Amino acid sequence: MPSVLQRLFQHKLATVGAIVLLLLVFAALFAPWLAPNNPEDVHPEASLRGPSRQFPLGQDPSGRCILSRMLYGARASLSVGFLAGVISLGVGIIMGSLAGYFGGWVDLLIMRVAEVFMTIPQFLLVIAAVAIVGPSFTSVLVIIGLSSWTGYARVLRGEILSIKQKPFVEAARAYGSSSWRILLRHVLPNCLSPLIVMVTLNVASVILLESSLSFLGFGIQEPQASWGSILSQGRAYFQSAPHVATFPGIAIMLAVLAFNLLGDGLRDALDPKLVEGE
Amino acid sequence: MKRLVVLLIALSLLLTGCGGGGAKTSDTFIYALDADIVNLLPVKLTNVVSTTVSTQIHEPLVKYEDTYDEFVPKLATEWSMDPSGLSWTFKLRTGVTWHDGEPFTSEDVKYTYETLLDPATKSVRRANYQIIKSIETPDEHTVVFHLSEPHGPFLDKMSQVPIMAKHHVSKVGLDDYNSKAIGTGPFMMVEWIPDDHVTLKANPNYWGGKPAIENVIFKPIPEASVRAMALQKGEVHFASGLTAEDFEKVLDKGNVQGIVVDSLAFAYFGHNNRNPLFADKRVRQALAYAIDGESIVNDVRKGAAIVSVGPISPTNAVWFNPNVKQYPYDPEKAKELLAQAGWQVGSDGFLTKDGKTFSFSVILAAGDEVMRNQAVLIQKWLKDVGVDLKLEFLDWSVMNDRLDNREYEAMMLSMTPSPDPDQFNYWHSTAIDNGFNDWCYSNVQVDRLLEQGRRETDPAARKAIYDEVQAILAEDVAAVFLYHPKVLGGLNKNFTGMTEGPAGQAPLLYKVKPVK
Amino acid sequence: MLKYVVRRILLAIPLVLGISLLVFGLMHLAPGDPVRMLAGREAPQEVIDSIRREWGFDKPFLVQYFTWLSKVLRGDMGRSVISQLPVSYLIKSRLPYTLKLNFWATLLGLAIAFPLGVIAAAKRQTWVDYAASAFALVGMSMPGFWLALVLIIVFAVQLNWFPTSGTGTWAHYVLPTATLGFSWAAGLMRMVRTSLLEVLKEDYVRTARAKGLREKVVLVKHALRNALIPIVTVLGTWLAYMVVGTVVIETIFAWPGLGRLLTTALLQRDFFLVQAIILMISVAVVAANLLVDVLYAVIDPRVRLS
Repeated sequence: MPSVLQRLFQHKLATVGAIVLLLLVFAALFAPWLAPNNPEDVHPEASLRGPSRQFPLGQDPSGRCILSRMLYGARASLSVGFLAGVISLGVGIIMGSLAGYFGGWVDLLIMRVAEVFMTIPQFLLVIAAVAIVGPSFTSVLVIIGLSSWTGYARVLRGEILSIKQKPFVEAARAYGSSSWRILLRHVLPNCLSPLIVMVTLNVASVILLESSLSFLGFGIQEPQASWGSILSQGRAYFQSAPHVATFPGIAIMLAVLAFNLLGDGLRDALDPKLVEGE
Repeated sequence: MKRLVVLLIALSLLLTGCGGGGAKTSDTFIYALDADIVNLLPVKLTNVVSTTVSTQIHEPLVKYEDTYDEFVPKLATEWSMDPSGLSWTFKLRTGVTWHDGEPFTSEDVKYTYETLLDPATKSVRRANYQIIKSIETPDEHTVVFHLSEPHGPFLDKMSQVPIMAKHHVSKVGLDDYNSKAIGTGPFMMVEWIPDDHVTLKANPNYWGGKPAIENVIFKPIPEASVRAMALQKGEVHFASGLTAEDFEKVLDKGNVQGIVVDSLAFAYFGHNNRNPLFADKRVRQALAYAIDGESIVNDVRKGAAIVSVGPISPTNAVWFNPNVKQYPYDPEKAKELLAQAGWQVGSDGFLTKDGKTFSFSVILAAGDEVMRNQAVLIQKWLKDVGVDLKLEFLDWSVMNDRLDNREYEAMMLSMTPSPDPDQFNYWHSTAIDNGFNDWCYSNVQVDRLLEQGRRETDPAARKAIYDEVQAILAEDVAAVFLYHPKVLGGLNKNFTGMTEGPAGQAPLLYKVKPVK
Repeated sequence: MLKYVVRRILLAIPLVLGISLLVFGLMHLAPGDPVRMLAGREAPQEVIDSIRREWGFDKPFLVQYFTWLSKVLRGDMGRSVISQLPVSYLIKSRLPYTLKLNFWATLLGLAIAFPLGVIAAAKRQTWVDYAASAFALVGMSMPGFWLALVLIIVFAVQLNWFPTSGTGTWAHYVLPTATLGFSWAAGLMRMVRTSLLEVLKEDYVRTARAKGLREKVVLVKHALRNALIPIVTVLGTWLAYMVVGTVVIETIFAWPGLGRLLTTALLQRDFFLVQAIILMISVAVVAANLLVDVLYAVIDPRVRLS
């Protein structure tokens, strides 16, 4: 593992990505201490005012502090990304192991279902489901999580199928190792690297997805804020008060960029095949 | 490879070859809508956008045109009510033809209303017209409506149904009607490209004279900011529904004239009157004193509204009663009233009574910026007097369910009444289960007055009745009335004559003229 | 070859059935009565009853599903709750606009992604590569509607080169096409670069280089052709990607396409329409994938055998 970390940190851009992410996570965790104002305090007489000393990033249509809202919004945006990623990973691991382990009709059924999920454009599935169930923090993250498990399942299944053939597994079996043990010991470590890379990139796409949902009014709902919801609120004032949409837009870009850079770096670091040529 | 390029170019020409657009000459007026039309068929009209377009094509029997004081003759030239109040006779305008040249007759009127009343039409407005018992057509230019009981708002209702052509509708049917609409109005349908544009052209044979502009193009542009930019650039000549900020910005550029349209709508903070928390009138009055309507008008609506004292807007001058109890912002008075009602300040700063904190939640639709901003303010003002208000932002479908089942302690919305003061569907106690009495307001006296006002046909007597209704609603604080919104729009300075007309009526484009 | 194609089509049938089942099942996620939701809040009881009867909503789930499916197969996708017009008509009138927009955006995307990807791979780890990669990363990280609004303000309002929105002339195409094409190109460019880099490491490329062939010839003749295979597969996801972009971009640019129809339908809870649009797009994706598979088999005959 240290070699992986070393390789990762040799990758300059990935290091930058990791640092940006750490900063964002730090901002989210310590929002109550970092925020200059209470994010819910309204100042209607100062609506849409630009950056000032008391409000470093300006004020939104209700005169609330945009910086403070963004710090708290980082919690929503990042946790939707992480939690949805964790849900998809969990569902993907379960489905993939079932399919790979049992094979036969179980495999056939699961892979067919996965194919259905992969064919329907995820965004359409998610907006329709959120519109039907009703948007909220929980419904958004659960629905996104449940709609993107297929990639993980495929990786895991592939790994199990290939490992099943290997002599050491047969040997382990012969010695009476339980299937779960084999799965934990041999399969998961082997596909850990692609899974980690996938989760990293997945979080990035979930953050973007949430902002598109917010654009249509199906994202995180008031009084909670996400970067997507602040951005989408600001778009009505894009010309008259550009600061409202600009800062959350930059935050989203930074976060997505950072996750993408980190994902790329991880892929290179974890996959020695690719590094060789660099 | 070269062949591929040629092929692509050919294909691309093919793909972009056609286009709607339209000439940008001074006799073409481009009107930005915020959404596409839904249905132009008069008996199916439900939303503002469709009404805006439909009004240019179809006409009702009578209409409010410049004020709400009187009805202007449109397809009917004279009308009279039988002394019993049970039948109304309309004399129709002669020499009027449909856009296809067929003559307009009393049969068309009868057909329109009978279609509206037919359950198979599935019109959501059917219930409002069930007082019509039968329709007679003694001759080509006379229609007689027989009612089941005298009905004060009858003419108001007649003004809301444009007449459609029997020979055409029965042939074309609903599915194709939008692009083939035929009316008697000043403009004729040319084409409808869904979500892109609706083009109308002047009706040379219009009974009121040919309109000054030759073509009208309606363009739906859903994004408010893009609509404002299109207006600013002169891509469209009229747009409304602008934010206060965009409105200012657009006016700054100098080629656009501001058009501010009042509306009949009223926005309110509605406590659920069934809830024991609000049973004491002093408590309700305290809420009214604690909420600063003026500040909402200035800070949230940026001046684009009028402070409200009841459900009828001052714009509707004929029926508006200014002499009702008013509640200027006065938090001290609110505290006093709450104290009188037995609420004591507790240790956490919130009021308590019998060991319970004065705390309730208000439901409101998520995604509506103005609603949210005013809710946040109200929350703060109520906190100032010791009341803990929680905001519950709901998705529309959930909100509708809650409203249907009357499951809320308070809700915030706005309502758009028709010009006639008959607000039976809002304030009568039977409307709690069977109408839009979302406040669950029930008052025997108001019930009696509303029943009376509906049957009364003498305008002076009706005025007295509705003045009293407004006074009671204000005294009782049936709801905390906040404001009557105004709609901000802009007109390109190359055009004039966009009459605002009375609030809430679709603009009449046949009065628009190019500036030479 | 024919046998392969037929087999692929037969395999697609259960997939389409699965998709239709999932799309239909979505309606039943709703907390309340699906018929109430399909009919809308203001609908009078008679409308609700007629929908219930016509679509068999009083029957068990699977019966409902097959009633619905048999109607859809006959081209009856129901009526919009809001306008009461047939869903098929609403979709048909929007489809050409979405196709035109997507056609141009695809062309633009390919025109940006391929040259840029190839150059980046060829000049790996020079400033050209870094600039191209930076372009791709930024493009992938920007919310589409943000980019759209920035483009409108800069090119339509400030510079006054193009109209803000709507359709009509070629100038109306520029901004929406650029927004959609740019963000797609970003992802595709990275794909081209990566797969080219992988091919460049293969033995036969090394051999070609060792033979002393010029770099350009190596790149175009040997590497690019082989790199195409993974790229073609990626193109399969192209349609899905475009569709997502159109939903947001059509709304901003007032483009009268399918994406905007879907947005309006969602906001108005017009669920027969939502169902139909999602189903249609998904079936189109299946068809596109099928096409890609066949194409793939043409390029690489080994595929047919497996």
